[in-house]
This record gives sequence, structure tokens and C-alpha cells, in this order.
Amino acid sequence: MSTVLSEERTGTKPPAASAVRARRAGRRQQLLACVTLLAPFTALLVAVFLIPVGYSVYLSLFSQDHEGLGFGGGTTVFTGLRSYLAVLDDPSFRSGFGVIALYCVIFVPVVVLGALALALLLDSGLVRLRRTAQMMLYLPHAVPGIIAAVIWLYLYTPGLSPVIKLFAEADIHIDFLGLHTVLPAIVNIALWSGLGYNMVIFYAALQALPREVIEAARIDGAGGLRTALFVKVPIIRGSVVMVCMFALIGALQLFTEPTLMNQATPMVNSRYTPNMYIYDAAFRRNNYGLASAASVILLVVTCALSFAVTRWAGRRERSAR
Amino acid sequence: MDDAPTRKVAAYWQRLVDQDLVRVEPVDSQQWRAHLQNGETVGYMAGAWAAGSLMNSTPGGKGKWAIAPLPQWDPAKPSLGTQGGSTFAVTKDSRHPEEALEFIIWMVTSPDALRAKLSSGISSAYPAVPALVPVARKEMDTSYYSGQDIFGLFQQSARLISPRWQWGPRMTSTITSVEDGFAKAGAGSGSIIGALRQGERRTLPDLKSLGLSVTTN
Repeated sequence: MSTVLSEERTGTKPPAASAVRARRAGRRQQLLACVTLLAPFTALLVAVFLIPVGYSVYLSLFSQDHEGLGFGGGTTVFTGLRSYLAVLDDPSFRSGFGVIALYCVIFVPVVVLGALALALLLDSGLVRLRRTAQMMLYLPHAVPGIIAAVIWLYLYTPGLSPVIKLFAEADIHIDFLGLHTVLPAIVNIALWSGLGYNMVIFYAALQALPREVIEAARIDGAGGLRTALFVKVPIIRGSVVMVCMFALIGALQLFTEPTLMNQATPMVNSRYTPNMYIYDAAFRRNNYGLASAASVILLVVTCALSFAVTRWAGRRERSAR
Repeated sequence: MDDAPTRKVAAYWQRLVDQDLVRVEPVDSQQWRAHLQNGETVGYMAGAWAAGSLMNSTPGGKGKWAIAPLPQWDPAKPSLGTQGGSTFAVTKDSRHPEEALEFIIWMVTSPDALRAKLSSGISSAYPAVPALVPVARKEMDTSYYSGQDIFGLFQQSARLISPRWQWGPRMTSTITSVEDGFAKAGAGSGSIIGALRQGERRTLPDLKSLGLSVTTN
């Protein structure tokens, strides 16, 4: 880089005035392009992220106070960190994170390994009708989450479900909505819709692999399985980390499936996950300060976890090299 | 929510659950209704309003159901609480607040309004105005309960409601938390007294964040 610069500088003659002007015009054009291209993103970021976050922080620091018996309008008063202390003191908010942790322990490994295995199978060429298989696996992701949850709920509900009926005929009695089965049942819904999507991410990464590396592995005598595990997987490590992180963030925002399950089984309470806690605080208890404080805490936890995962992955990458 | 009388009641119900003497299922669920309709559930405890809703939800039970006063811990000093009830309110942005208030007063105090309500066949609400109780006794078609004088019974029970009885400031949410705990206790995880304690623990942060001073003992 420096050599190029010095060459330029020591080169023939100093740049003419017209060239400077042209360069300046070019720079202005570049700036214009930057602004034009970034504007839609920035506008959306401000409108649907920064403003709501700012409003949440504001709401979390204030409360509606009513005089006496609550007659007449309330007055907005600054309450500082009162709502934050209340949320952190609430066992039902903290237990939501416990549920999420357990959900992650089951969901993340299964979805990553499952999607990776499917992508490697498709990539190895062992599967016939590759496009059809891909399509079939991806299709559930196109179904909106709430519709998927309704369908699964139908399959889980005793007295309605043909699946439970079928098992019952074979004298196997299962309760998908029981105390210990309800979380795996939620994981199952998420897997059903998430597996194909993540498989496509892995498959795309595998397709971008340099073919000569695979060829070299084959010449060195590596079989299909060894090539997959020791050549392909390490190269697409970046995608694996990304899928893990998305799964983690998705898990922290778990809402649709358990909210629907809440209608069907008392084993999923109305504050089952942090997001459900926030909904319950805002729209059942009408406590916007509490709900906003919980939202801000959830946001901070999510950011911190994403940061930690990225850092950890980056360090591993560096140490691997 | 775990003082001595509460612990006594919780222990009583815990024993019934442990010995499989009561049916454990969510109120108003599909199973609940099915068990009422096929006659497998023989009784349940509820407020006066439940008489009408049972007539409506379980028409096949006509002539088979009757209403009894709640049993007492100490028959010498009978005492009751309340469950359910309705209030009517006019919102701040109502375009006709005075007319609305007038209608509400008519609705809760006029014999005509009560007659109209009872004739729907699904309401057995206990009137808030004492003078209307005789009207309800006369007008309510109690053939479902084989002609039992149900409003007479309601009136006797209503007199036993302790004037010290009151609900908490966030009762809906407290009840939901307690019921979640009951459901788990019924499924074999936790206990009834544990559910009540959980209901308290889950209510306090809400009250504190609203700035209410809360003391627990």
C-alpha cells in the first residue's frame, strides 16, 4: 500500500487543479450514494428500534399515580429505578429465563446438528431429488408461526388429536401438555419450522466451499464422512456460529407458541417466558412501567449474550488459526 | 397468604387431592364441561351466579341438581366470603355520561330490569339491592332445581358474608398465579400452600412497582 502511494507521490507531476476538482466531485457523489443507500435502513432503524427503545426507557422510569380510591385521572410521576427493582425481585420474571435456558439446552444443539446433518447429506449428493427434498424441508418455514402453533396445538390436545388417539389404540397414553412434556412439545414446534431454514443457510455455505479443497481431501483418501466432518464443517464454522446466535436470540424472544399453549394447558402459565411476562404486565396488569422495565432488561440481556457469543466465537477462530 | 387459617384450608384440600377424593381439572375447561354433562362431576362450589350458568351449560341436568349452603368450619360462628360479581362503569370519554348513569341505576335497581334479566334463563345474579331479592325469588324459574327456593338460600348465605372480607388490589393476576400453582400441584409438582405462597410472591413486585407500600408478615 505504502509503495503504491509513494510511487504516486514521486511520480511525474503534481495533480492538476482539474483532477482535484474531479476527485472532489467524485467524493461528493460517493457521499450522496452512501446517504441514499443508508437512508432507508437508518429510517427504519430509528422508527422501529431506536424510538421504541427510547420510549420504553422513558416509560420504565415513570408511573401513573392515582389519588385515594383512584377516582379521576392519574398523574405521571418520576419513579426512577423502582420498576427495575420490582422486576428483578419478581420470581416469575426470573423463572422465565430459566425456561429459556432449558429450551436452549434442548433446542440449539438439536437444530444445529439436525440442520447441519441434513445440509451435509444434501451436499454429499447422496440424496436424490435434491431440489424437491430441499423444498419440502424449507416449506414449514413459510408457514406463519401462529398457524403452525395452532396446527400443533390441535395435534397435542387430548380428545381432538388424531395422533394421541392413534397411540391410545396401541395402548400408549401420552400427554403432550403435561408438566414435563410441554417444553419438549414447544421445542418440537420450533424445530419443525426452523430446521429447514437453518439447513438452507448451511447448504448455501457448503455450496460456496472451494471444490479443490474437497478434491484434495478425496485424493488424500478421506471418505465422504471424514470429508464432511473434518473438512467441510470446520470451514463453515462461521455459519454454525451465526445459526447458534440466531437460535439464541429467537429463544429469548419466545412468545407465540407458549402463548397459544397457555390457552390449552395450565402447565404453561401466563408469565412462562420473559416476553410473555412483558405482555402479561402490560396488557393484563396494565402496569406499563413494569412491562417497560422488563423489556429493557430483556434487551440488555439479549445484547450482552449476542456480544458474548460473537466474542467467544471470534476468539476460538483466532486461536484455531 | 399463608397465615394459620389459610394453612388449615390448604391442608384440608391437599388431603383431598392426595387421597384422590376430588377431581383435579381446570374450571370451565373442555373436560370440566364434559364431566358435568355426563354426570361424572357430582358437585362444585361457586357463587350464586353459577346456578344460571349451570342451567345453560348442562340442560340435561334438569331435576338432578340442587343447591346447598357451603359447609362451615365452625357451625356456631358461620362465615362466608364472596366469589365473582359485576360492576358497571361509565368511561371518561362517554358521549352521554348522565344518560349512561341513569340506565345503570335502572338496570341494577328496577324490578323490570331484573325480570328481563332473569327471563333470559342464563342469569341467576344475586341483586345488589336488597329490595329486589323478593322479586328474584318470585320471578326466577327454578324448575331446573326442582322448584328449590334458591334465592331464599342465597339471601341466607349473603347475610353470612363477613364485612371484613376484601380482595387484593391486583386480584385477577393474583388468582391467575395461584391457579397456575394449583394446576401444578394437581399434576404432582408442588402443594396447595406452595401455590398460595407463590401467588403472594408474584403479586408483590407488581404492587411495589406501582408505589404501594407493602408489608408482609
